[in-house]
Amino acid sequence: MSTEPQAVAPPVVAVVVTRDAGPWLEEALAALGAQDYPNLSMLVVDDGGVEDPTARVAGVLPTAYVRRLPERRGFAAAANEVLHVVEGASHFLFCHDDVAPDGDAVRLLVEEAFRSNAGIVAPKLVDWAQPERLLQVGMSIDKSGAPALLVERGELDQEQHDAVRDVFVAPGGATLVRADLFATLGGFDEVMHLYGEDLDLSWRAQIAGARVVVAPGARVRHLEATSSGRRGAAPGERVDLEALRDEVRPLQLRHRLRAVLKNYSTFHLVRVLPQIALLAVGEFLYGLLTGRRGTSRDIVGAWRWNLSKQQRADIRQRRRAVKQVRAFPDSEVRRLQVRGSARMTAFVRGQLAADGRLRRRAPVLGAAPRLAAGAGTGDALRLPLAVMGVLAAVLLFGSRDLLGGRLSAVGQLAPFPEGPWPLLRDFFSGWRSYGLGSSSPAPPAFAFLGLAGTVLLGAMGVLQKLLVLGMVPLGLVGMFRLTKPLASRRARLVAVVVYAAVPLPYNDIARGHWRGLLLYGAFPWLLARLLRATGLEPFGDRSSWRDHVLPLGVLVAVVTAFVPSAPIVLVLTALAVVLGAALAGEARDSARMIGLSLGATGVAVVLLFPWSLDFALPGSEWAALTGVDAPAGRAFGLGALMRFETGPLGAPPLGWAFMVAATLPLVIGRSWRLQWAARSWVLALSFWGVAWAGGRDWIDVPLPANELLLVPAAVALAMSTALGMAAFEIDLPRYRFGWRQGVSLAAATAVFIGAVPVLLASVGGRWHQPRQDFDHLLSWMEEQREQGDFRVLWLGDPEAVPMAGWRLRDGVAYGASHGGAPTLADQWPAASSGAAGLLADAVELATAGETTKIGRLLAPTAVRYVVVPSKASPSRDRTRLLPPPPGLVDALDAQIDLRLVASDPSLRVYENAAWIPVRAALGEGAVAASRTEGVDELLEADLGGSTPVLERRRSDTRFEGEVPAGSEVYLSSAASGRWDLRVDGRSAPRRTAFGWANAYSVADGGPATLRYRTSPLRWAAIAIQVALWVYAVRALGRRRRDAGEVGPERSPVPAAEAVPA
Amino acid sequence: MTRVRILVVLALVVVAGGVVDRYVQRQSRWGPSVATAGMPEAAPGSALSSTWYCAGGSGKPGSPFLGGITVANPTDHDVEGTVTVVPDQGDAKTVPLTVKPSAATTLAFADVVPAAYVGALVDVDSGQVVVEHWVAGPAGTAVAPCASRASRQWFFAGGATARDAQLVLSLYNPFPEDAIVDLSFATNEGRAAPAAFQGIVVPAGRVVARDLGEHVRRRDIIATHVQSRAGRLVADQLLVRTGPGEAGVSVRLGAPAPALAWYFPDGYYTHGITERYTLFNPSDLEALVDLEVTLDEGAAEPFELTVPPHGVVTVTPSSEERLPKGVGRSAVVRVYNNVGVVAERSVTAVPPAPRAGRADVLGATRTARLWAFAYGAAGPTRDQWVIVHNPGVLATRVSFTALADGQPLALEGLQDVAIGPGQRRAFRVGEHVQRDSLSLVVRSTGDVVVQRSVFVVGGPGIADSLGIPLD
Repeated sequence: MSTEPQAVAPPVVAVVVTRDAGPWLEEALAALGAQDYPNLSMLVVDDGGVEDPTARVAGVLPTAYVRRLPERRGFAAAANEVLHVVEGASHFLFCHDDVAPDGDAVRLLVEEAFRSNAGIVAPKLVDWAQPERLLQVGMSIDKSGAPALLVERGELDQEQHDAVRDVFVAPGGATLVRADLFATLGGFDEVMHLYGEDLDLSWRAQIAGARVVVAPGARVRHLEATSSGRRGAAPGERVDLEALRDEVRPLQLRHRLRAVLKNYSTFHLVRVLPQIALLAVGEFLYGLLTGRRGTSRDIVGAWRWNLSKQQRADIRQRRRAVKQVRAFPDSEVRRLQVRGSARMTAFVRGQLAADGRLRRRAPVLGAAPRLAAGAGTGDALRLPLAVMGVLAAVLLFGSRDLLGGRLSAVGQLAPFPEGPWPLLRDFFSGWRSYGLGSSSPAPPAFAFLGLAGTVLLGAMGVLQKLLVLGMVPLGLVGMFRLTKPLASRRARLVAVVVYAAVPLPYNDIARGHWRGLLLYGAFPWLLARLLRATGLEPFGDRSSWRDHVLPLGVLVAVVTAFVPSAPIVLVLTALAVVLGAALAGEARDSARMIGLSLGATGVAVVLLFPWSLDFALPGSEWAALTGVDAPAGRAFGLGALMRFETGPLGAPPLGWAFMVAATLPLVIGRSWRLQWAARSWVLALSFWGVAWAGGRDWIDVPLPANELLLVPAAVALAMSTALGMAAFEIDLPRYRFGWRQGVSLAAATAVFIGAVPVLLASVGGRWHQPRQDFDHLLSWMEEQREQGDFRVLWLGDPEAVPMAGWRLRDGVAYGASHGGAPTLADQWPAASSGAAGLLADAVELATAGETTKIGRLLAPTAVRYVVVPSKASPSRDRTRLLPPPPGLVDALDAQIDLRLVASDPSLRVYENAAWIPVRAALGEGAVAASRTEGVDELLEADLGGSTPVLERRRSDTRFEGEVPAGSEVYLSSAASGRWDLRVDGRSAPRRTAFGWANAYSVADGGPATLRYRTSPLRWAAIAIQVALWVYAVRALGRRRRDAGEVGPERSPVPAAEAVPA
Repeated sequence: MTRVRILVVLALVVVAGGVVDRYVQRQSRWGPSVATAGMPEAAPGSALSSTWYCAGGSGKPGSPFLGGITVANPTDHDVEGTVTVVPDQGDAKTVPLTVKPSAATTLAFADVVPAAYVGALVDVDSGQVVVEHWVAGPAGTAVAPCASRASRQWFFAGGATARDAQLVLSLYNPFPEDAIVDLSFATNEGRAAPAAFQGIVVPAGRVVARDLGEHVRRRDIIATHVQSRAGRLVADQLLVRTGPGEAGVSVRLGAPAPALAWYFPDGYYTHGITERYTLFNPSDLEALVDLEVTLDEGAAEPFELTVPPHGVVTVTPSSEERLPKGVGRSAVVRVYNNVGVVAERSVTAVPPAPRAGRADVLGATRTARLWAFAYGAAGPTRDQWVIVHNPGVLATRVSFTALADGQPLALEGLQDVAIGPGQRRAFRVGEHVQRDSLSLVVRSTGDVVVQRSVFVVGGPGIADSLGIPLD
């Protein structure tokens, strides 16, 4: 009998939680049974499973103790059973029922626990079927509790992560926990019945002073049966990963937030929680904008759940418990958290790594997840991340002044209102104050902008920057998606780089072509849909083109709300691609695009009812849809158009570089690379040609502006260059070494050279956008409103006039703004000029030399100032000259009732000496004239003596103030019976004044209110419009569900979110 | 094959586009870059109203520039309006105006505002009305059209501030805002811009007159550039000379802009008549100009002239052998390098010439088919001529109509008179009609330029002026 003391191994209890396990259970139990650790007991807890696992357990581990719970309580509660049934254990090893530790794993874990004096020890988790592939080697989180993986999932295990180290989280699957620590902590948080309980336990352990380490020497295979959908599914059954993620995501989000709320000290919670809330808002908005409504819903749900009364009480109680065990401050605990936002990182990587994720997914049971891309994923991501990072840096650097300051109100970049309500009010009221006012429907853009502004809590400045500067990155992401079928990451990146480096968007920013920027951002997305309908390799899919009508229609509707001529561009694109197909072949298949574009336009027209209907009614003007044509005299040359030199960028010779690069696929491409290159070139040439011929008035149809027509050309050029890259990868190796390689080198060089002008332009920090604007220059007009509300008549080159006006004649636009420079609401003209045609008539009379008293003619329209700009911005900025037509200024100079006001040389400002305020008590002469419709009477009448009334402006449709007794109160707005003047509560009788406006006879003076009563028809129209949108969005959602699309880009769960169960 | 086809088609499209683009661009590059100078023009018949500005004249008896206006109504309806006479000192006065159809009305400034210098604003409720202003004093009679529009700048090519000359610049601002103007001069002794003539304020609705000889003294040739810093105005020059051989009075409306072509229907010299063409280049570039003359008999080579920047060049026909004495001519000043100039013709007549006095006339910058003259007379004391120049390449036919107190009177013998291409003809109106007040309308089947000359019989007075286009 030996007297030497025996080395007794500390007793360890392996706690296996199971529930209706699949065939893997036996293998997992057997692995536990094969451990070389001498003092290991087994406790199998059945978490309310339908099947009793006792027999299966006994078959493998006869000594194991099986405890069945009467109902399903979740992993955490089931694991906590160990506290009730086991005494005297040194450590607990909490295991899922789908893990299989190597034979020495438990021993190594225990040894490490003692060696490191760790409270929790995690093993290296590897793939079940391919154990050479890593799943997790510990885990970290960011401040918001979002998980951050420490290894790339699927990475080849070459022992590169085998050092023992401290980690923040010991991932579930197999976790060794010191028994006394587990008891002190009260076990797992049972509220977190699934997902997040491992994070919470590790976090609390560290607060209590325990170390959490990973011991990679201990290797455990993990099937991830729950997160892969195997649990509860029949063999061979197709897994709906989308639905599975929809189940998992809410639990992950709410438990993560719960852990944050529980475990931070008060000080840190106050600091961190607002940041988390901000991120949540961003993610919520992103979800809404990208159609990931499930994500948005779950984010809101997580907050609601945690802030519910019941949870608040429970969290308070658990915070007290945490406080009692706290040994370390948060500053110490957080040292293992990752910096920044793991969510943001995961998002970016998730978007870019979409292909990789798709390839890794295994939708069919029985097949092991394909991890082939695993080893290469890091490298594969590095290039896109690097390119995107450089592009982002250039864009941010080049836009720094604009991001930090305000956008100049140049061209269409009118300042946004201070809040969203004016836009929403304009949309709902049924009265448009544009021009001389009308009851035509307000543009749906008002509703979109108002809603977006509301979501941004009224931050309209931020919204404007998003909708201006944000269009460039949106377009680049769209380009990346558009070129996805090319199946070449390098080709896609080339497309993105070329699209980013064409001068078009930067010239749009410089010139204030907001609509051009919007289309730049949206067009790749539109084209992607359009190309899918062709069914042609590689873009087409097998669905009928009719399946794309609704999705494309909704997209077109949104774009058209902001860019009314977008459908014209879309249809022209379809025609151009078909033309290209006639050259390259397969024209019949391409012709589907025409049907699709027309169908989508139809859907957009319906969704934009009744605004769209307005354009079809008699009297509507094309210019309201397409914008006023620029004068033929300053039309761009073909070279300038091909270089996209519509502004300061694009000058030769560097401006030609992309043309050189885009020829590569025509020279070396084969098969679909060559065909699509030909189609792309025809597309580009078609739009260049249309813009060129249109600028010379050779096309007798009003066309969209150049900045819109050039967008498809830019996309086509980028596409062709990308096809060149694809051809380089696929086709070039089939040729012998020769001149083609030289051409490829030249093309590559051309891409770099072509990007130089944009890089140089970024130095300025504002893409050459002028620093001054008319809004600032005419700010003095605001003070003049004290003398009565007035209008400003703008005349001149369509690009110089800072509003979307109507056509006066070729190359001349006109429009009226209120009380100063135009606002955002002036960027969408009504389809018909209506009463505002009087303004044009007066100007035409003056320019024809038929009157020298235009001031009198304009007086009833309340035009106090006539402004003729000769540049798009004040003269200090070196923007190009956009002179008004020669006769216009001469004609205005000849008017004896216009007073020239000293102003910046870029503006010619006249004050109308005969003006009448918008709301006025008319003088005697004016009253008599207002009862007639003739111009002669107007010219002869004494219009003096009118005084402003109703000067308190509540909105564009409600005014208040005193009105004098016995007066004729005049409202210079298009005649409408819905304008109601109430004096002392009584309605004053209304009549039509000057043949087009409103006048009220006021017998007894007193406090009065003038307001526009919204028509019930307007409310009905809005209801119909809302119903149509709801129907369309629901139909889209249904379609997507029916189609079972699980494409990675539609995944609501970023990569790092996919934490295995 | 497909690749070749694609490359060929695309290359052809690109090359063809490039060629057409270059062709179109080259065409547009040759377009005029200088705005056509605006002559006074009648408002169209459809006009609701029209306004005329008459800047120069005097209402003060005894002034060499004592004058007034004549308003002619060639339409078939009554024209009503007002005339506001604006003095350089004191208040303006507005009087009603009614002009019967096919008639003219004359208003003397002295009857309204007897001020040293006055301007007038004629505001009528119709188009197709023409207004001229005239001066009539001891030195003679002169006529010029009023302005149908204001401008920010005005140019005068001729003028003199010699010992015997008084050159007055009359600036009229009919608008509601003040105007501030600077004057600069190109003279036979170089450029001048006296400080006293900088920043001249012309208050809204006022006339300001400046005697240019006070600060630009003793210049035989003085071209004037009126540039407004702010506001718009109308500018006239009034010139009176008393020296032997130069005596006479003239009134001229300035040119609102330089032009590339100037037409002078009349030209003639003989013993006692001195003629001079003056070309003023107000730009910073040299102007290359041809003075093309068409003689009534024979032919003459054009004068090839170079007008220096801000310089003046004169051509005196009597010094040129190629222009024979006693032979009438028309002339066209044509610029060949796109640098606009201002051209003027001056005539002085003394015995033994059949008439006496002086006239200064800016050329016409356009042609027209319908011309009108408000002022005129033909009878024992006035000898009126009308000269019609057809600068086109086709023959044209002209007809004359007098506005005879409410009746349009087609002048017998002056109907459908043919004028050959490039030719001119002078018509002595008194041979066809004798009237104290003779407003005329000249109709042509082609584009012509028409000048009217009224000579005072037995005394000094040459009233030369170009017609006012009605179309």
